[in-house]
Amino acid sequence: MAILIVDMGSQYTHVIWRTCRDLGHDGKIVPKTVTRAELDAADAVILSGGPSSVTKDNFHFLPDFIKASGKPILGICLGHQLIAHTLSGVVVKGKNAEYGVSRVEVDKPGVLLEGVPASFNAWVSHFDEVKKMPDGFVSLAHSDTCAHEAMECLKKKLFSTQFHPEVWHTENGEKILENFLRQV
Amino acid sequence: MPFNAEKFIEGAVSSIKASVGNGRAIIAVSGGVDSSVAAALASRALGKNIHCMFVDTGLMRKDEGKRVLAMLSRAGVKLDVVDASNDFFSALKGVEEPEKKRKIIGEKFIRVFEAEAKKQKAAYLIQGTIAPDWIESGGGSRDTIKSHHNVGGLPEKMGMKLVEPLRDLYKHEVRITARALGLPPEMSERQPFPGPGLAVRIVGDITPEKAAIVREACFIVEEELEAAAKSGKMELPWQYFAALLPTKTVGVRGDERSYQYTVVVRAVRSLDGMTANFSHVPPEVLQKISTRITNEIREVGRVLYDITNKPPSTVELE
Repeated sequence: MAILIVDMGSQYTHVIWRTCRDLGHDGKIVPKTVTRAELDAADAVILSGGPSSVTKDNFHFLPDFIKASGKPILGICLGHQLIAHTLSGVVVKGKNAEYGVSRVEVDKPGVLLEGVPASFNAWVSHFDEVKKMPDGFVSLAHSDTCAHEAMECLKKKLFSTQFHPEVWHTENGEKILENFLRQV
Repeated sequence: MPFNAEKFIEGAVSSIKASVGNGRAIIAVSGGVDSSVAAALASRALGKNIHCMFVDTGLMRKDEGKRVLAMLSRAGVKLDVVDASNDFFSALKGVEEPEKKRKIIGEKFIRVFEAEAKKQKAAYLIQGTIAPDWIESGGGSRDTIKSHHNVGGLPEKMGMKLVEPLRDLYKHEVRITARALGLPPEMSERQPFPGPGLAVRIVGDITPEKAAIVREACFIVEEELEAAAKSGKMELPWQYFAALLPTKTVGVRGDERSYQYTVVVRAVRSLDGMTANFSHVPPEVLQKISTRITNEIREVGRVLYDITNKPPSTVELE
């Protein structure tokens, strides 16, 4: 099974690769300029975080792929925002930034947060946030500073988190990645 | 599959053999677990065709040279010690900017290695670079958080080919590998120490006097936290040390005004160094550290405890 991990400049892209490996899946890291053909050949795609902003940067073939692929996609941080922005959600600079620990409250576990406690500590590092989700998405969790810490659209097989499930400090992070990988 | 040390060792040994062939390699060891593992792998792959060296930058921990020498000789590694401390201090004189410091140190290291490589007729340099080193050094769309001396701090031109067997590993995986290679626990479980040494624990310009202050403060922090962990008062942090701020503050000692340096105590919990949270050190342990530092180091008048996680901070101050 081929998991493509798209590197959008996150400090944790290689950690996503490591965690996938720990869970028994071989991932391949590719730059965000990855071709459509390579994206189409993957069984699932994970979009990393990154230092840029969805409104300022060029994401090449990724938006078209998000719109049309039908493959399971997990967006993390910037990847979460890219999914929202691409599908006519709204991404803005948050009222407050959040870095380090954030308490995530689960509103509806859905598929992605299945089996995860109702409230847990997650590691975050962002200023931008999803203000309005795209149509068809369900908000799964929030924190004090951020309304949509996780969302999913089962019909389109799109899943995303504002926090970083791949880092060691996020409680239940592996479980969340496992929930996604089970959709492949 | 979780990280498999046996499989990794097998792959690393054959890839070192493939890249170095019948050539000769210099191995820079610092006494930390990364370079020790790189040296052990290289020794398996190349046998006698390696030359291990330890560079004393003057910015090492207390008694580090002696300690590393003893530790490595117990592990059967023959080591050349090069004292380059005057060289490092004069190159760093008056430099305040952290990135500039790191680049000067990266370049100095390479020049020392090159001189040795020439003597040894070695064409390769084997380094214990691990994943966070190149990740944080930046590249492509990834921002530079800090230029690690062995990656972003390398000079553009160097007369040796680099071999980095641990590039895909994180600290916890290096430790698993160290145990599998049979390295002693004092090596495999040793806390991380930054490549640029105490240089990144002295905020602002570096002098031998400041290095002496922070070296002693680090020693006290290590001694007290290790004792506290041993007696069950707390878990041993992943990394723990002191850093020196250039800021002086006012105090009173023996009814006399004092105006002295500030030391920051830092202790964090982590797995891989990519994220970290500050350790919850019991107040009585912090009090002991603070009292010892201000009593034993005349130049320090105030001690702070760093309560920032990573992100937004990093483990080291620079």
